[in-house]
Amino acid sequence: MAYQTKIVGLNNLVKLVVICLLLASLVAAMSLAPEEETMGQAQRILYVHVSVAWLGLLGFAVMGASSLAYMFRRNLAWDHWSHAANEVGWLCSSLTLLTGSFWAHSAWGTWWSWDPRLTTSFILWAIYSSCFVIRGSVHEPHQCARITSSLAILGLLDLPLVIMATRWFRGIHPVSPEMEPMMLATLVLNIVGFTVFFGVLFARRHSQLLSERLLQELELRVMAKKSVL
Amino acid sequence: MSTFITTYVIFWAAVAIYVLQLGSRQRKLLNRLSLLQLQCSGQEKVESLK
Repeated sequence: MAYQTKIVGLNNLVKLVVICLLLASLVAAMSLAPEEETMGQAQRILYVHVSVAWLGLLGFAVMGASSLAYMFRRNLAWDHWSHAANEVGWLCSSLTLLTGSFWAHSAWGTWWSWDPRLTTSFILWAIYSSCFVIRGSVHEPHQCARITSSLAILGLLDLPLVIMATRWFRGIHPVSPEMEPMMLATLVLNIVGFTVFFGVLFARRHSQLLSERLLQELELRVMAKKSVL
Repeated sequence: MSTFITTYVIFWAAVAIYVLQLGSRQRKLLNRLSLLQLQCSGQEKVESLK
């Protein structure tokens, strides 16, 4: 009982920290950071865009690493990590494209351009989505894990391309622009806040997937016992 | 100004939908667990009656 109380206490503390971090990030992005001269208020989109873009890449790296571990060990526990990273990473990747589109409309006057960074990010999102679709349609757990792992490992090749696209190829996507100290502090605060927030969501989803599998096993045992009775 | 506000609203709406979905999955899991507990206690009673 004391153990349970400690867990609940820790859970509430984590929630409080996450809410405070997100509120601070929001206030900093909306009012504390100075307005940029050329783009005006629309430049503030950058704070969430860069944060979710980084998380989309991190999510894919986690998905790829756990897929590699699954392929070597053939243990479904690794696939649960990959599944959780797939979900949270897909959300971040979709939000990156969405916020980027809004930013592009203000900066370039178009919602989309086949710039190298945008194209490689779109490929990453398409791989995330394919894994998502496979998880929804293949029901045998090991078969599903094998297909999604192969796809995720193949997708790892796209990660360096997304990161280096602005340096290796010529395009219109900005390359780490110089910022005022207050803007940089706001960006760092947003990155930290969103990393903690999505990290908590990732951990929660992973524990749900684990519980789901254990519950399924228990249900099968109970059904088997019932048929014996 | 409106582009920035629209982006933030859509962003937070998407995040809120995902968080709500996580919460609903958690509730479904808890319901399944309590149903299983009920089934188990029922079975124990049947076994004790035998």
